[in-house]
Amino acid sequence: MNLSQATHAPAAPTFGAELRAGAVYAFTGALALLLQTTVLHTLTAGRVIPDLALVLCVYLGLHEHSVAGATGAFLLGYLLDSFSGSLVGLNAFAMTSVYTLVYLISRRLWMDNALSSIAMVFLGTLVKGFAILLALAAYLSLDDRLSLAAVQVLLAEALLAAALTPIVFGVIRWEQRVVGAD
Amino acid sequence: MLEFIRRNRVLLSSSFFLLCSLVLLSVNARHPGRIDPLGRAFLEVMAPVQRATSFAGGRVADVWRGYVSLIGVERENSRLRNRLHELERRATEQRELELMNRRLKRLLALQLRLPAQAVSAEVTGRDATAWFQSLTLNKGERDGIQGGMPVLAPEGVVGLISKTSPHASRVLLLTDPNSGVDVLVQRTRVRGIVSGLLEKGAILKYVKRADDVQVGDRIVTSGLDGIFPKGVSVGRVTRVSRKDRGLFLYAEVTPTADASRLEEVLVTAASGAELLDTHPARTLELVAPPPAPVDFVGPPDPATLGILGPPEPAAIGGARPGATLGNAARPAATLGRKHAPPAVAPPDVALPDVEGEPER
Repeated sequence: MNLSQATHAPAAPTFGAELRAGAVYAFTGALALLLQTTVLHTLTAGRVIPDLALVLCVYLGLHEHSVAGATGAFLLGYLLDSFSGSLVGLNAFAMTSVYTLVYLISRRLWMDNALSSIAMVFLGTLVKGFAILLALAAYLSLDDRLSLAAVQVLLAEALLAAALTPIVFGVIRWEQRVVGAD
Repeated sequence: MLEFIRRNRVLLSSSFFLLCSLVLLSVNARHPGRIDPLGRAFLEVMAPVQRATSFAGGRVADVWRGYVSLIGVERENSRLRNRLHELERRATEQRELELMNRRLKRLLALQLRLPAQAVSAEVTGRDATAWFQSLTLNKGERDGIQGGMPVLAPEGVVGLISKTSPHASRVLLLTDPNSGVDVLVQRTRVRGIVSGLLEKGAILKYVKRADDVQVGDRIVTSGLDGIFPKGVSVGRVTRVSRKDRGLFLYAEVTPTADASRLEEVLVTAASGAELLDTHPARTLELVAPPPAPVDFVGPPDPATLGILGPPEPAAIGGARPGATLGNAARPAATLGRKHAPPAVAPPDVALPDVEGEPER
């Protein structure tokens, strides 16, 4: 092994660390869903609900470049499907799309700062909304229901999720430090 | 080849999961609930935690209202403040009990008029996103609840059970974009479909431009979908527009049951039968008059009311386990992907000539 390899090659995470990281994501996903279905409804009167699960999905896209990351995004969407709407697979499709897009962007651009994370969450929310509308139009012919109000809700959701990004990312990093998965 | 797979494993796995999602979507769009291997488990595991979180959130809100708002009062008034505090707490408790009593009495009044037995359930959670409209209930298959059962409140139609687990279930609300309920305009007996909108609220669809629908008209269930009892209040028409091109008019409907305020609901066996005990003055009015304040002595005993226990299995057996909102609520001829107008006009109402009706 030469000096360059020894200096730059990232150390492969141990199985234990991967397991702990998985537990952190599962816990955060469940917590995000609980908040979205209960407390946040009370705080926002149900008008616009910040999509904390999507913020977690973007975090996966930025930091988990592995099969486990893609699986996590899919399962997160599936979990959301269990508590949203009636069409199973809709959020799973949207979340996996967001993960893939964020992954592709983060492979090409330097994304390790707060501002770019916020921008990615904003973009991710728009992509998720677009993916949902696309799927609804394709499978349920809801294209005649699109309106300015729906676009306003989408923008408000994106702004709210972007504003909460530093907090959610901070919580995930704190959890990872606590369980030793960072 | 192996090197290619190793280098692109994330993209390949993402594509695989996108494909899985599309397969799930395709199958579930045609046959809702057919492929949902993890949904039941997620619902069952999360529902109790969700209920506990709702409870804790409610308590925190109470504490916020009851205590935090009083911070800043001078110390020498602490005794009076504590006294006031105690009285406020008691008054809030009493008010809560009174309101619960009223709600349960209204639920009981509704239950007595239903053609089949019903199960009362508490709302423990709301939809996880702003795009759809659904509720989580604290009762499930163990209490006799099955997919496709109508959910009612004293004010009117709430929605349909879309998913169940042994101890929890989910309701797809009337205002969800995937919903559809066969209805009549009470005044003119014009038939249509009430469906939700993405931006919240509901619209009355497939009503001819020439049909007589006016702002303020009450919308009730037709019973023709074989799911909701006939004559249950759905909402009121709040806007009518005939300016757009096309065969049908555009009418916005405000549901009578405000789902954002619901705390308890009734889940009943699917039925197209009419409500019982239909007094002429209250034929389509589900809202019972509020009880006189002097009658109030405390919360009603659930056992006395008889609405909190599970229904007889035989009574619930009439439900359609496979029926789901969106498809089942549509007329029999419209079970495909798109909503379609009702196939049959009500026999007692002659449809006016479309071309002869003046533009409003």
